[in-house]
Amino acid sequence: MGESIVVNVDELWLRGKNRSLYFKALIKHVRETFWHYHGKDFSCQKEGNRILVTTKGSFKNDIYLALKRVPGVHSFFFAKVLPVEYDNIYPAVKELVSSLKEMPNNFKVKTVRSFKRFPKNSQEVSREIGERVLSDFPSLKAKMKNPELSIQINITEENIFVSVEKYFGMGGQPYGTTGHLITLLSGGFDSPVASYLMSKRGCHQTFIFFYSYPFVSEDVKDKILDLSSLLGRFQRETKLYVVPFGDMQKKISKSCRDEYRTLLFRKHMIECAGILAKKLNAEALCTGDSLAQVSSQTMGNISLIDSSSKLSIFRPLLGFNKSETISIANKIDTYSISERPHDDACSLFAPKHPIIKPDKKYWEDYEESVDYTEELESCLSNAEVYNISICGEVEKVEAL
Amino acid sequence: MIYLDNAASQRIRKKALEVLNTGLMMHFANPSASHKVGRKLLKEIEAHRIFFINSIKGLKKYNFIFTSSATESNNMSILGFEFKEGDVVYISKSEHPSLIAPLQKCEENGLVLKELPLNNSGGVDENKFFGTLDSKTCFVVLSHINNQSGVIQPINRISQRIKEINPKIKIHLDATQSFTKVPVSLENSLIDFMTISSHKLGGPKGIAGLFVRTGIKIFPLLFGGGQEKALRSSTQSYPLISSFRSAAEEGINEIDKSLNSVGKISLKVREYLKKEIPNILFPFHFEENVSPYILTFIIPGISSDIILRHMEQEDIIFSSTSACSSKVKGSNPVFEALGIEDKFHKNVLRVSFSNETTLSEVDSFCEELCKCYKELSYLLPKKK
Repeated sequence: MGESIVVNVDELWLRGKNRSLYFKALIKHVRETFWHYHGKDFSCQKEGNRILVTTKGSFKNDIYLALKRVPGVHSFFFAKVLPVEYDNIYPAVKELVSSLKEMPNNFKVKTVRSFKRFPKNSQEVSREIGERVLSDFPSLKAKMKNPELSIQINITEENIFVSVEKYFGMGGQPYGTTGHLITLLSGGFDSPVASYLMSKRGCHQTFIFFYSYPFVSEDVKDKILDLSSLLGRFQRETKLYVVPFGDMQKKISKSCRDEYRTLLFRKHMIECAGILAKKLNAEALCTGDSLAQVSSQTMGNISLIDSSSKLSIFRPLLGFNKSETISIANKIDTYSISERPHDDACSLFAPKHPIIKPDKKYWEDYEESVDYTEELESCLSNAEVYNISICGEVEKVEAL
Repeated sequence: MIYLDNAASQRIRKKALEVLNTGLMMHFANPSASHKVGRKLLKEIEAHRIFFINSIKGLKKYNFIFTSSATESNNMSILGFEFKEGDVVYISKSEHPSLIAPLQKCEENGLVLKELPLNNSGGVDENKFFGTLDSKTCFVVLSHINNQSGVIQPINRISQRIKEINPKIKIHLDATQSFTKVPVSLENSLIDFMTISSHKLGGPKGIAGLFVRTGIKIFPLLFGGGQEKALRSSTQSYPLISSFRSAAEEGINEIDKSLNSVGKISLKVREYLKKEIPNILFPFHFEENVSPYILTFIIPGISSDIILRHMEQEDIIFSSTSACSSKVKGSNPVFEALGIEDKFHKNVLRVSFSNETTLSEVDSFCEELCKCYKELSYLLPKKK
């Protein structure tokens, strides 16, 4: 005996000549996921347009959740893998249905046949197998629309897959196939969700957190470590940079008009993230900004920040309402961490009336007269660096 | 490190540490054992018990139960007391959570909790309070010295008035911050329960006590071997008890000397800070009614958390509120009860001294705090 998991790949139809690269990346991630969540006893290979993972024993339960965190996985199902012969199908179906923990009330059989030379067509297979299920399991009734149990039969040239349950993955692009981002994390709700959305699009991300101790407490850093542990599970490997920023904020505050403090903190954070991007060959930055959510996220302020950045800034939440962000935060489990109260350094420094429509002239003059590149480099070289494994284990490592 | 958070916990006294070590190494037997070693330890525990009862002039009038913490002692008198439905208990919101939380638990069974009113200097508002006491009032909970304000309640006067109005009213006094710091006497038997704690007076953690007036019945919270006159089953820790006694004895012997030196220290800090920090406020300092061991002040405009973290970078440790309330976010009910305006709740700081605190330590503290204030003053709202 043994078990198999068949992984369906998302957005495959969008792929052209780079299909093999795409598969390679996904197989690598799937394989690593099984190593960590199952052990070494499995094989993983491309099987037509799917990925087939088999083990001689049985898969651990953790693998369900782990596969849901692999970008590029459209769906997966636990299946019996059979040689391509019609007579093999029903005994496997019978065994799977008998092993269900709770017997459902109704069912349907759905057959997909990519192997067109198979002696029976999809309808015939579904009908004949369905009839035998009805006779062997008299409590089950056939139901074509929204059945409680869906028996799936996939007939490919290489194998027949029989399964009774299907799980959906996060979809999107395989990890690492779309580029390297530096993602700015804060302890709030938005940036973790932004990171998740970029994971979904296949980005490799390095996280950066600007730590304003002694203006904020260590609780904020603990939150970031916990959030990074969750977000790191969407990648094969992740680095987090915790950059000491308290002194920098003090310096900036003293160098500018009060109402520009928050905006200038952001400008320098973006600059610092840009320096890290250059060191790590990352191609763009990512933030959790949502248009007009707070004063520093007005169109004018966002444009101004963009004008100071050499790299593109991805803002996947720009058009999100807060409720939409929160609903994803709930789905990816970051909500309960983000909701823990923490001090926000920006609000501690925030003037009563932060600037909403910035004066371009003042901004340009400031940029002309103040250059903190050296200080930012020094912040970065004093950063604490953490490695986050595919399982979310966080480990402090040597700095840059 | 300069440590000025002694109201939260104090370093163990040298002699008490020696006694503890000897106890752990040499006197480890179970005092309930019937062999001669156990019997000897039990006898000594009884002698220590008598010491504590004598120290408050309570011989024959009080029993004393060793517990594990002030929290346990506070819980014991409240949860162990047989309240009836509709009984009224008075307590101020400025009290420690270990008093408020068990009373709130009793509310589920019909106990009626009423606010004990304080005046704007942190003392009991006696006119207001005594007027509200009636035949339904069954229990009054008070701290001798409030851990935040340092205000010393005139316990004798208050308890006398309470008993005059209704002698059946029971009074629980939390003397955690006062025992060995200022004179505490229960000679007149007006107090029914009193809590003291070892680690607040230079003894080890894990040991405390509850005085219970003779004749008052309470129910135990722990059942088992029947130790502590069946009021608290658990193997008694001879090493902790003997070390607690040693620290308490030393503290009582030095009470005047310490009060004098801590008084000077507190005054020095107040004067220094008043001079250097123009808008500083001392909400509780009113002559002799405040313990010099606790000094609370407000620096408007700068978050106390930020100051504390800047100071901890310099290895100077103090706090903004009691350690048991330090995770409270937003408006703080203790500050509110003590009459601190809402707008200052994020700006409250507390330093607390011990007999070991030195003048040079508080000099460094004051210098660093003023330096920190100046450095952070750009955060103050600008005057227009």
